[in-house]
Amino acid sequence: MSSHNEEPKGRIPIGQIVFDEIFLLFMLSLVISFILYNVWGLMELLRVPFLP
Amino acid sequence: MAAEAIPWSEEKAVFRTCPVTGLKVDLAAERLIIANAVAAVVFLLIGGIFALLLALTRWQVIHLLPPDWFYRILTAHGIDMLVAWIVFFEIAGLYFGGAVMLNARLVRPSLAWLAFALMIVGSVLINVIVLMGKADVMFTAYVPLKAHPVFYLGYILFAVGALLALGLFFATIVVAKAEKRYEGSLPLVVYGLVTAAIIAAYTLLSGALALVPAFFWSLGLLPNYDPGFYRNLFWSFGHPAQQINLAAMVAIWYALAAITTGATPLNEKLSRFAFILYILFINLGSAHHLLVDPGPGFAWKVTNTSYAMYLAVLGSMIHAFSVPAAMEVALRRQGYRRGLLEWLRKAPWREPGFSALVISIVIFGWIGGVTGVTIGTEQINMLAHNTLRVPGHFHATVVAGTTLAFMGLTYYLIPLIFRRELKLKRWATWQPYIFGLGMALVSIGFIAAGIQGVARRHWDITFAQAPFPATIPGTVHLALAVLGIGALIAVVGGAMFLIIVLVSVFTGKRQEARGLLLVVTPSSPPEPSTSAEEGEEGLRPKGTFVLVLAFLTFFAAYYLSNWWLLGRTWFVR
Repeated sequence: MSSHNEEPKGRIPIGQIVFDEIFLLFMLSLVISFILYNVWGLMELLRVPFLP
Repeated sequence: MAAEAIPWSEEKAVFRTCPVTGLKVDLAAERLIIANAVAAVVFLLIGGIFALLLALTRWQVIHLLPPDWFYRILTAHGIDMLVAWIVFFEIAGLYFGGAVMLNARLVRPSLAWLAFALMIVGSVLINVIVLMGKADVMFTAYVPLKAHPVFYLGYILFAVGALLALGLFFATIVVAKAEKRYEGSLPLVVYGLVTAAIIAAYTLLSGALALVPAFFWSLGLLPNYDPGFYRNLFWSFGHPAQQINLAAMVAIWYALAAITTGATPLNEKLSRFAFILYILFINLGSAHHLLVDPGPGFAWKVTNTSYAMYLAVLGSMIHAFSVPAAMEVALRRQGYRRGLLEWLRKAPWREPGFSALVISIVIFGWIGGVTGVTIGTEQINMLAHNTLRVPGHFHATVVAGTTLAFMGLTYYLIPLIFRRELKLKRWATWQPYIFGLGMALVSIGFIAAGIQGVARRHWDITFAQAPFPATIPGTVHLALAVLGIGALIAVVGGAMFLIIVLVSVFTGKRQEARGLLLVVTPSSPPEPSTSAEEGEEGLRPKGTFVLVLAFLTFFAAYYLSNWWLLGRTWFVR
């Protein structure tokens, strides 16, 4: 394997950086859950017509 | 021996060093872990007594409780088991993971005591008001069923306390990093607990969104509360609350595998990726509960319960392979390399942490996981919704899976955190088997009755006073008898756990831990393996691979048989 493919010593892979960003994951979790489940679900309920 | 910590701000902490793990234990964190764990066990005891009364009512031959007390006890049982026992134990776990496992101090212990007090007050208020007969609304408290305002207040106080504890857990991790208590990535077990805490944050915020308006509605300050809105908001509390259990349980699986067999994850990146799948997608499974609601549309239901949810199921599949495979490799490394399953035969089956782990995995996966994914499919849900198949599913996941894993870990906390000798070791060896057998029968009894159409949450399954006669096959009575007998066995197992813990904590010799294993002593080295089983080839987790294939075959058979049952119910012509 050529040397230019090797990671410089001590450099952290980008995947590990993302995995370690627990507050980024925290925000993504809240955003995905609230939008896909809550907001979308409640909007569907709001579109249900009232009884005449 | 206690030593002063280096203070990061004005706070000071005093640590002791665990002689077995070498971890530095913040004594303030230790006291909070003990308090939360004791509270958890107390609510397990209360909820367990209620479980016995309910099971003896479900068992048609006995049918113990009258209708009003059935619904009352069912309400208290659900809250004590699904909320109090589990969340108190998880908070203990978070303090253990955030402070002890990182050699760090717990941030602001005084606030952690406030959180504990709020949770205690909240759960006591709920129990009292329910037992007074002023909140027979069950765990879900579906609007327009209206409970006494104290019921909602109790829920809210409990949630505020738990949110405060979560905030302290995250702050502890941030401070641990700043104080250089650990370097690089968080340990995998702590990462799993972070996953649980992230899911818990969404859970508790949703709980506030659902229950604060319900509180004002019960006071008469809010004139109307739309049931559809409530159901949407409640289930983003109610279902993720069980996903906190899932993430915490899997973290404990990794911990118990390490403690009892010396296992290390085969591929940490993959295990972390599986936790991230939970973080991003598992909350969407809440929509399972609304699959027969008329308001939400097909696209919302299927997106949430199928496409997105299956990504979280993929996470569970990864863990379901990773944990046993790690144990297999560890045991093969110890020399048990013959054939596919010598490692499993020679595993430390007498060690309570190991047996609790294996039984937890098996019942959680083979019964809880398979039935959960199946009844979470929109079409099949038409058959299973509001039948006893649903409690069959979640008793396999939450009770046999999570509770048994928590029980297994508790045995190791007694010497490591309580610093007491574990008493009644022979009982501890048998307890996971007895509890596991009982809960397997409970779940199978529920599922078998549910498949035959028995409604859940209904005191009279015969519908004796209904205008139309309901036909109950005789085999339903057999299924409910299996449930009742299983519950009796599980109660014996649960009582054994409580007795072991209480006797150890109150009468066990006060001493520092002497080793990780509690019962098993190192065995003699195995006989030499054949040449073909030497080297790296002999370390491959071939046995786990075959077991996983068997699991997938069972999964497919159960799933497809449900589609067949659906086809027998509604003929397409």
